[in-house]
Amino acid sequence: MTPDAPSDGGSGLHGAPTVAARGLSKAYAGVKAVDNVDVDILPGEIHGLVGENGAGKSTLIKMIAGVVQPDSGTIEIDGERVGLPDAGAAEHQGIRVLHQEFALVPRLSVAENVLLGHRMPPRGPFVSPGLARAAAREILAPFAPDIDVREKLSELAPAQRWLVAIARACSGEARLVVLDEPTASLGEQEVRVLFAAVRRLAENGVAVLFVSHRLAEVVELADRTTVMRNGNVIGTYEQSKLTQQRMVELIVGDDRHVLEVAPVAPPQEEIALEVRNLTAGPLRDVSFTIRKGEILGIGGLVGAGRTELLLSLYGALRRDSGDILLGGRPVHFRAPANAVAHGVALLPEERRLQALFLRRSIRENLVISFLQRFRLVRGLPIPGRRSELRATQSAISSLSIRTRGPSQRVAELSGGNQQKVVVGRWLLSDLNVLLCDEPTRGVDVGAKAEAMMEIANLAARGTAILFVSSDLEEVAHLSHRVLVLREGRVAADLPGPVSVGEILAHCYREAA
Amino acid sequence: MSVEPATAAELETPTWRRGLSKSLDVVERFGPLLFLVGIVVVFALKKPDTFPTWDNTLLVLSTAALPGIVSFGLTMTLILGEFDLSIGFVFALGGVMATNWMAEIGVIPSLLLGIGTGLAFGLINGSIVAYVGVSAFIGTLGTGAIAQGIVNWITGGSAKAGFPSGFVRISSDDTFGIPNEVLIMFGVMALLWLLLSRTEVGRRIDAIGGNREAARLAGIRISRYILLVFAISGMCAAFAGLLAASELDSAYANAGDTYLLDAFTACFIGAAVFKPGEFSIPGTLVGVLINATLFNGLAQIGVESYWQFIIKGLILVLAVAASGVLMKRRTR
Repeated sequence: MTPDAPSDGGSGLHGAPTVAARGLSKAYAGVKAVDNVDVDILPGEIHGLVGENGAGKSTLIKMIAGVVQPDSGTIEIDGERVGLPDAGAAEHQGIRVLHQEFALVPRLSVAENVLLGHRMPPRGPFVSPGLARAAAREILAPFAPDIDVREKLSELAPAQRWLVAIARACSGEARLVVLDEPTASLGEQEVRVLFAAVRRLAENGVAVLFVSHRLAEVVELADRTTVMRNGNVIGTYEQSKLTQQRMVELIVGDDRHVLEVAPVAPPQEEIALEVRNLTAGPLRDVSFTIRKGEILGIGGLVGAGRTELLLSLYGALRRDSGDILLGGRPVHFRAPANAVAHGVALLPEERRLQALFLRRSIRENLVISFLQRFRLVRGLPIPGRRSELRATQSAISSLSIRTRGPSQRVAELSGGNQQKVVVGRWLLSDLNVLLCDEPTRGVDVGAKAEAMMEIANLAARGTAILFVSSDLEEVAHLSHRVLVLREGRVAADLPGPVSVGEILAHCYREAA
Repeated sequence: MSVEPATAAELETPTWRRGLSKSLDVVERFGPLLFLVGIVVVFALKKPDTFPTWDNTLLVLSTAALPGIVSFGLTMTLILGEFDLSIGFVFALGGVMATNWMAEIGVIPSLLLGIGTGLAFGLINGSIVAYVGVSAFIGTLGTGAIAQGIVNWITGGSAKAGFPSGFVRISSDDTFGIPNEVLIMFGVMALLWLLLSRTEVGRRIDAIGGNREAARLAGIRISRYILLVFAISGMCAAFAGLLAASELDSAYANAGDTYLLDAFTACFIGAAVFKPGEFSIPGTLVGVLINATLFNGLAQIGVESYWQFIIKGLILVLAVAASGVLMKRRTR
């Protein structure tokens, strides 16, 4: 037990919890995403849920929403044990989960959206628009009486859309409403409007689970807050006894478990890549330099623009303005092909969707970017199977890819070995810059250490590495320097060694 | 003590069931091929005097030749993950463009004009899909309508006939006792098959068809290859149309009407054979031969021609369903 004395589950003034999770566990490919978790959410309570990216919040929500089935553990609703085999069952139990991209249809009117999935009020054999509007107004009244139900949803401001979504969710018998990052795209004024609606919801006895990275908002809104870390619940705390500072400490944890990685060689003097005032997608005015052999960690929360930074450096995301200098020369990558030709490579976030040809062999996956290096005869664009096989064999042994052989389909490999195939692809060329997006995601502990080893080795050979990972411990441990992004801007450029707490502090600091 | 997974599975599965699953595997891999052999045997038994002869075999191959060329072109677009609905109309346009000014400009320039028209339409189709981002469905349907309009404009609705004998001989002559068009079909097939299986271009087309986003992020210039496959598809269609005009000594507006359906049928039958769930040139050949054999055999046993349409449609639906199911099983 922590010294903060977590409040004890269901003994509050509200009686039986609306939703009680008991011993929930879920593992993906052997990695525990949620491990033996207990949570009570009481009727009429606003319950905060916080934790780093990958702490297990999403998986927990998905299990409560019936979208993901737990490996073990039970869920009780109003004291009764229930099975939630699918989203429909959870819906039937009065559980409503609202995501940032909720299930509303922008092209339809507000009234049509509110009544989506309901029986439209009929007049004779036809739907009556008048009656429908009246019904929609009635549902909207407690939350947003001043929204015109005839307006198209796409015309509404983001906060108003949330109100419509909340009203719609509460139109049936809602017991628990889960709000997943509802304020991510809202301004200060809009946040007020949303909060008022959430409080009204709680006053009506509905339990609210409020998931947010903006800790100040959690402090302000929540009655109690559950902190998660590494798939575990660290504790559930009365919000009145929990400061924002303490919350950050709990989220980060203090038991630093050290990863075994060879000492990272210091970077060289020569600058490999310089970015000046880059604006692209969500990125605003991003500037930094990275030297040869340097590992630059990119910190930031979901939506801070980390992936977009890598994609725009790779020519996969259109750049609005700004300059990119590679080895001192300005470059304009209009497609990833240009980047590859300049020795810039990407390990994308979703390797199965963005990097691999699952029905093809390891050999075919490995050589696809550099076919011209394995020609049968010099100068003729005819692939030489033998030299491809030789290169594949050597990649398999040097990266210790566990496989039956070079002809095995990539679909049959484990996540870690699939990642090694993608790494092996880029090792076929001379890399100037390697952009790594979540290189260790979905990879087991042993393979994780191997992947980090490989990154460190590459850096030692002079490749500049940009390294994005939601596991901030990894970022802190491996990076020479850390660049923290917040809402598309550089929030901090921290020289190493950097601690996780330092990175988080810059991730979470509210915009002034 | 360790138990090998295979052993464990064998213990759980009764022998007859494993036998069944193995034979299902054979059906899965070679289903359309077995079907082709089956119909050949049935027709041969029904019409032993006229069906299983050398002359009739050449006749079947001749019937398969032009649909084959169109289908091989279409296969290229399908492997890349696109498709081309303009082929029937480009076919007709190819025939008309190649023949309309033949008396004035001569045979060779006319041939180039016909094939060039197909190339132009292919490049337009490819650009629309690759650069404008219009779906191939609407894009190629639209350009197909344009091609048809141009055909009607040029021909004024009437057929053109009476071409120089040099032109007519391209399709209708034999070389070494085999009709030229059959040789040409096998030539086109060999070229495209080599392109796909033995060159870097083929590997990239295959990669794009397998996972377009991964191919793009691996540094492949997607648009280039989209352009290429549509160009090949357009040229194949126009070239086949030109050969049809040569064979019939006549070019007319509706010449390509049946080719669209035939080509799609052949390609989807082909996707259910060899590497189930994947389009391939050899697979398409099987599809084309099934079409031609059915046409020939059904006519010989006296089935009305409207039945042939019904049967063709049924086979297309079955082949699409089968390759869809196989695709799902394979990607799991």
